Amino acid sequence: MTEMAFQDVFNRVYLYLIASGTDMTGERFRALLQLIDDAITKASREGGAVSVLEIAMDMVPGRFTVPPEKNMEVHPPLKRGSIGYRPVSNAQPVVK
Amino acid sequence: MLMALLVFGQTAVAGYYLLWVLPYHGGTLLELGLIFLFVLLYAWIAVGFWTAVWGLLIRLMGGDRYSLLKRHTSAELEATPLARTAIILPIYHEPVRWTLNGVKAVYKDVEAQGALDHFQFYIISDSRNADVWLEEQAAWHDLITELNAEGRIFYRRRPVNLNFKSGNVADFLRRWGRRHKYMVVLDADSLLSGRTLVQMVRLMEREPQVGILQTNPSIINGQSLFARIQQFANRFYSPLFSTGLAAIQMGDAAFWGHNAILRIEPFMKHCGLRKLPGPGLFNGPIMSHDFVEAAYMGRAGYEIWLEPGLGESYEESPPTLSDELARDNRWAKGNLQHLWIMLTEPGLRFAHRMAFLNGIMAYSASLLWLAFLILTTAEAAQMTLSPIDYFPEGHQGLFPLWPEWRPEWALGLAVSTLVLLFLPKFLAILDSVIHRTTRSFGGFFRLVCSVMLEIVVSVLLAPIRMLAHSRFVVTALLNLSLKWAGQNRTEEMSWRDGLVAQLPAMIIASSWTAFAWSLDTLFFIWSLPVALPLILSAPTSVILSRRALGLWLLDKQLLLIPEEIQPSPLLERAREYRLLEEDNHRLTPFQQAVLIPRLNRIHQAFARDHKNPARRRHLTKLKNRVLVDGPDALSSAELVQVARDKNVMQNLHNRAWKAPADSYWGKCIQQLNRQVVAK
Repeated sequence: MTEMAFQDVFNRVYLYLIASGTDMTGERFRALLQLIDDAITKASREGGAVSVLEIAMDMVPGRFTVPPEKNMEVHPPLKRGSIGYRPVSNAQPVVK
Repeated sequence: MLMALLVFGQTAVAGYYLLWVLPYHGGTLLELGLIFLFVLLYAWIAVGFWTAVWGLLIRLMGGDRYSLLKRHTSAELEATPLARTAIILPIYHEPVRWTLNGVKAVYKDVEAQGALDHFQFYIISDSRNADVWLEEQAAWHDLITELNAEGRIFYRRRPVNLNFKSGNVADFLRRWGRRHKYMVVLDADSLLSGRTLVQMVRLMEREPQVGILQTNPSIINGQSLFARIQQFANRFYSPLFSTGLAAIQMGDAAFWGHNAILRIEPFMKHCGLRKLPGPGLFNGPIMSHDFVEAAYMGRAGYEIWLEPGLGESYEESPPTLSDELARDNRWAKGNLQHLWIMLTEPGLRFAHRMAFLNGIMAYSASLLWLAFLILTTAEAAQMTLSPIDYFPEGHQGLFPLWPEWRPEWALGLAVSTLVLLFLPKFLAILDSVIHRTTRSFGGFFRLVCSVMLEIVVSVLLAPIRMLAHSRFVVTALLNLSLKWAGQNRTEEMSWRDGLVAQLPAMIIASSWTAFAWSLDTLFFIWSLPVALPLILSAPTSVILSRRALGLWLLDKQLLLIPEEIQPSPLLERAREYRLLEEDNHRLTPFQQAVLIPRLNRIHQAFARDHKNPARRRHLTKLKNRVLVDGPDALSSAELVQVARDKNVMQNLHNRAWKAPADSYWGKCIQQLNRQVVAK
């Protein structure tokens, strides 16, 4: 594997972690380097069938905890109202 | 009744004067046509004039004692409990961050009132473009995270866009109408203060017979000269006009589609809009839904009130003349459709039928004016080029008809027309002096200068609008197709665009005035107030679109409005939020949705899990095309399908990050890298 390709993989994974909101501490940098090393080893064992980049990206979720995104309530549950409408609060009489 | 007497009486007198001004005194078909058109136009202007006069008188008497606000003391209103109210914001391809920052300002204002528990916000989108609605989803997520507003601000995008905005609102009601007693409708550029929102709900609670309560929105945030002129005119003149209008209409007012509160139960029961069954223009969904909904609400026995006393209600003006005319094109068609309802719908109150007529005349008057100019030209040509006809067509007497000239009567008629048009503006100055509000418009001298400037610009714009509106009315009646598009709220007009847009008007005016010159010098002079503005229409529209000029006048404290001197907390918040946020991401919203992990997870939460095997195969093909060539490889509809599928979005995310550096997504990642490094 060429030095340039190694740099690309490192940059790619690093950017992914930054884009995920991961705070890159010293410890996490070492973990990243270890991940790259492991990806290279695995790619060599598999004879280049899968690229180092793909292996490295697949390893990321198992090695790094991405800040979770809370699932927000997008909209309230449906409350069908087109037929037999009754207001939520006490009904006001219809004024004629 | 008094209003009708004043308008028709004055019009009858003016019509009589015209009869004797015209050479044959209505003895020819041409002159009869002129008188007919003149009477219609004069009556139309007289309605506006007397509305303003009535408004002034009411304001001098301390306000309308029949208004809803006058019926209750402050203490009574304060003691009135609030009810669950939805604040809905129907949007379609609006500037996303800017619009949601407006929502944020309103939200914070309601929070400041301590009333958040009674209000829920619904952003209901009809946006079709995937980049737009993906950005909407992301912006909504950011907003509720920042405000901790989960369960208070909702977002829904309608996948099928039926019946424009009214269909969007109907969809909201079908899903969640029963959760609320009232709904407040806002446009993308609308702002309503928390104080006013609370007051509106309390008034509705106190007045159970009221179905719709409409505020009188003031135009704000005008920056281009055009927008500032509209803003000043609206803010300075509308107290007079809206007070007069509210007093005349009382419980039979109109609904303007936004910045109003509606009682949901009767609205759902009685205000559903069916498609029109007639021919051409009168077939299909109702475009201008608001007047019709008010009429139906009135038919159901409810009242619709315009309440000018409810302040802190705002909207924005289109920034350029072209944008205003694009909006008018839609409204003209929508208003003309009302002719069918006005004539055929049973049970409507007379006042609402008159409201329809008013809306129709708002645009048809331009066509009538154009027809009047054409007939006047024909009359002038006939008098100049043809020998005098002592027995003209239509004349049935045995004796010849001698054409007579009464130029002094013609002058008197012209002056009376000008008085109708311009006196209300000076009445507004008088009102401002009496109520001591001149300082909030920059002081008396600057106020007068502002009014003069507004008069000059309105004289320049009137013929341009006349020609454009005439075209809109004709194309609407011929039922030419119309696309409903979001409004441009921000851009200036280039010289090229101005020339292209106004060239027909310039050619028509030049030809007409040259013809007038060849006929008669007096007629040529008479044509100038209409022809000159049309000839200058291109530079007028370009110069008026310039922000620098508008802001320069602001710096000189001209065209000033009170909200610029002392903005309310709501306006300050909105300005602050909109200034802070500038979205200049290098990637499109779709690219961001694919690549940025956080956004991808957010959009997956919005998306659906399509399981149908045929659909899955189709989506896989689309996904593969996007992976190789990016989103431009798909049509707009195909991109929407991709963005709405959870599995595809997840898969795209995983595969894009593994793409080689020289691939489409590899290059996008490099752009993202530059963005991140720049931060």
